[in-house]
Amino acid sequence: MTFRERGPDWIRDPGLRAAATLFAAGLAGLVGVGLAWAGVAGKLSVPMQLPFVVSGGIGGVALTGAAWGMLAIHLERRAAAYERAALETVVRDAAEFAERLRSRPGPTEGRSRPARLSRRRQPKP
Amino acid sequence: MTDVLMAETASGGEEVHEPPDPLGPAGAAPVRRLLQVLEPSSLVPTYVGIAVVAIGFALIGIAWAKVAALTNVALQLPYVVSAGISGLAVVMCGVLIVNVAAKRQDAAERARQMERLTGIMAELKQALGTGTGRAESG
Repeated sequence: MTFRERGPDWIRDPGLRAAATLFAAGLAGLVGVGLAWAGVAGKLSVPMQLPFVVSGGIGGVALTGAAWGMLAIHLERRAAAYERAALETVVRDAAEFAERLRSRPGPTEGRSRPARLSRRRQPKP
Repeated sequence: MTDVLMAETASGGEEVHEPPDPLGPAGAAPVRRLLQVLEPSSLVPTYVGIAVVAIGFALIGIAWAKVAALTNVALQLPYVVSAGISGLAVVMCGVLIVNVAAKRQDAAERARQMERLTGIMAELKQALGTGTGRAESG
């Protein structure tokens, strides 16, 4: 039995796994920015600082922006999928209901008149 | 009509009705392919967006490699601006493309569901109207 199978619910759900991965990637971008700051702060020469700015700073911001942007898209699509599934159930039920209504015989087609209705139409003495 | 809707519901509504081709069969294949790619339900824009994101990260990597290989700020800054900041912008554009593609796909799917629901509701209305008429006439 793998960790995925015996782990908690959020690990078994691939959607939540993807969300956790994207969130972690965004955090990794922030860590990159922190490392860039540490690298830049530890150097006194600007030519030595610029590679940290590019790789850690710009790269970290890009990673965080991309990962958390994708996370927002992912969560939005997940919510939309739930909504579509609920609507699909309504569509199926409505189709089934329409089919049953159509296949039901009318009052004159094999069904006797209700007793209450026939009693009401009797002539008064 | 209900039978058609039931069959469509059971099959998940994957039935595709080919529109008539106004350009004719000869020489229209590339145009048709382009139109298929630009359809809201197409997955191609999503993959294009992911590729654009990857290109942006590659640009940032190139910028880092060039900047790290130089020791003169005057020579480093052009790489920072042209590849570094541009790479960041390209990454954001890629995310935007993915976002728009996802929204278009969801909207197309929702429109398809709404169309089916409207058809079924019209059918229900018709069936209920017929039933009322029968009851009144009987």
